[in-house]
Amino acid sequence: MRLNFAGRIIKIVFVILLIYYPILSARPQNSIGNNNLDDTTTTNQEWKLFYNDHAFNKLYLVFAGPYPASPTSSFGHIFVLLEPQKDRPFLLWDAMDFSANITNVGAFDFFLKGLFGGLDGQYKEISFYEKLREYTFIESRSLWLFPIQLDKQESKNFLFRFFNLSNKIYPYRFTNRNCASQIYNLIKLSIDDSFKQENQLVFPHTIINGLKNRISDPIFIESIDNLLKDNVKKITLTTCNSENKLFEYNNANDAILLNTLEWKYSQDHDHLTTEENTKLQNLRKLVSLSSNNEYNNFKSYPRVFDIHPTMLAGCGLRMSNDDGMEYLLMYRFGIHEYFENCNVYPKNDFLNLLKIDLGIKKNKIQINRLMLFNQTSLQPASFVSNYLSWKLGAGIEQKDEFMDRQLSSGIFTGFGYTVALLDDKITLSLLINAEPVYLEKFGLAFLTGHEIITIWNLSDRIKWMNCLKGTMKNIATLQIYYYVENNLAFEISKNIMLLLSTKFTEYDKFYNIKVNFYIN
Amino acid sequence: MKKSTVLLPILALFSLSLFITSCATIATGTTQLVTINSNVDGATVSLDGVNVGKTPFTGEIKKNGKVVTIEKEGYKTYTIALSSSLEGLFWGNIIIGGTLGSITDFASGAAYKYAPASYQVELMAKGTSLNNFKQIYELKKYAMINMSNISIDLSKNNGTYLESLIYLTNMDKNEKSIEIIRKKLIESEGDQVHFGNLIVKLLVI
Repeated sequence: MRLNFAGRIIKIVFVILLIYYPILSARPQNSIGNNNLDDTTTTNQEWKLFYNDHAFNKLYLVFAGPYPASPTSSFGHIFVLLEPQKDRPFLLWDAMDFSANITNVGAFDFFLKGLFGGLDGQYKEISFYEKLREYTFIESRSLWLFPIQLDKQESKNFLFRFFNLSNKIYPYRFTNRNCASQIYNLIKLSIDDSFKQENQLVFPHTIINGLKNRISDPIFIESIDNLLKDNVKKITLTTCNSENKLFEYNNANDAILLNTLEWKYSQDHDHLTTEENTKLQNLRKLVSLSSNNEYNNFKSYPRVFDIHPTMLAGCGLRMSNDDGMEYLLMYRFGIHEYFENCNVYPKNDFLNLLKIDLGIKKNKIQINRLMLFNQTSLQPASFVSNYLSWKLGAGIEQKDEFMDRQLSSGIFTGFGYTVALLDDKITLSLLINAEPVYLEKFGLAFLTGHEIITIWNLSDRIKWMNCLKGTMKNIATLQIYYYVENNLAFEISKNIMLLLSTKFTEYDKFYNIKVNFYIN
Repeated sequence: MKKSTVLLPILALFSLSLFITSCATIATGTTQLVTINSNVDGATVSLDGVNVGKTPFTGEIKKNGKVVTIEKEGYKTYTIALSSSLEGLFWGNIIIGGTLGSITDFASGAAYKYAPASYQVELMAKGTSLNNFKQIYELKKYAMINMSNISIDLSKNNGTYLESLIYLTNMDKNEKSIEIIRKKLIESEGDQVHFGNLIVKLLVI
């Protein structure tokens, strides 16, 4: 009876989504259009004023790294920055982007419409300092500025298109009508009228590859996190747990303290208390009167954009006490995993859009794991940054820990906390998990449990991840099924990795050896 | 290995305490403390048509409110459409923040956030020139949002934040202009709103 009821609910949700999607997607969809600037349109007075204000020498494509606090910002953000012809400090340069308008949109609607369509998007213009404040300070995301080579006519085309687009509403969707796809189309169309617009999920790799003939090496702007790291690295949960200690530690440099506290308060609070406000106000006065301050509150420099391909494949062997040997095949389409080296994505944020693990045994192929989306954010919290760790995944996963080994399909979530040890070389995370799933042999279940994950960044080429996970099938029985998993990853070359792993459950032991390689 | 139930109470308690600690910074409840200032004090603040106070306003307002209206005689009425920040959406906790309606047309004024849940609303006096209003608005907004970095640059008598502020005031960048800004910062007692009001007086038009 329970199963039937749940089955009906799933069907109803499915039907609602099927109806909801076409209705939302059926709205008129403005496209960028295919007309570049020609002489007949240049008589428009408004356009002339706009052009006079915005004419630029150089265009920068700006990539803001991902924001760990929100899954919708996992891929990062793309916008453009205009170096004006008129002499103006660069904090006051114009930035332009395409983003969703979330005014009066509720949480549920945001995700549903974001995924299936129905959100309104707009091309917007904003001063660069506001973008800098939003990304590098409030959300602590570094920026990569890629100069793009455009000739005079192409630059004019770009502005003309933006001018025509900026007062209209366009559909926004996370997957194919997002900041990256729309800005990419805008640049490409400004260069070539006949460019066929891309309406697919766009990674930074895709954009950079698509513009590779026009793009130059990037300039990197440090996030507040990085700026303060050297100065406040000793202030972690292990060495400092109160603001007074921070004051003592930093009394040599009030400027660092001012930046640190303002950032910390913006992370911690919905509203500053009178005491916090007074502290900041006193510091501002004190700092403005001080001299010989060596602290650099803005840092930019050329940096290599080191990002790995999105497609990864692997093959290997698995031995188990009960089942003997099986061959393994793996394919991953995604952004980042713990064993990959990259300076673009935070090292403790892992995201796959598709990952499939197959086992082949006695000519029989079976799915060990098929994840359609899987994200884990294990950003360490400290005195200055209070990140919450979390994971969210949807798909199918083999549950080796049960006596009757079986597939579970559904949603896999977890929330918790991560701390960093030994100067970020080790991170220790504890997650509380909740997994509404359909178990192959037991039917619908709400699995709960906890998980302790330790990641050791032993060197750039060697990483070790340990996971102790306990799962409860039925809270009433208080019975926990544990497993311990150890993964050791070696980077053999830039494109090849060797992975050794063991997994011990209460009923069996597994030993894996795998080789992963990127597909370019 | 035997199925373990011994560790459960300890782990459950530990996990629960960890979760509660983690959530400590997430706002709960149905209201939120908000500060709203305006360029003219005594403007009426209404939430969804209900009068809740006058500027400078600090008070609890309902999180599910849709629209805040700021009005004063002699000025155009300004309306802020409330939205949900991404963090708020992710945690299912709707708070005020993010986009504050359109600020591109300046039809009746403009608003911006300068600190957590603290907003500055610039009301436009009837008959004001749009260009003049825009210049004052841009300068004040920049000064309030970047005040801490401006004070850090003042300690070095140089820096990108200070340079942009001087540019917006239309002053020349020299020792004198840097000293004037330092004086204004000290006079403001480090308060963002006060600093913004003092800085706009420096605007050379």
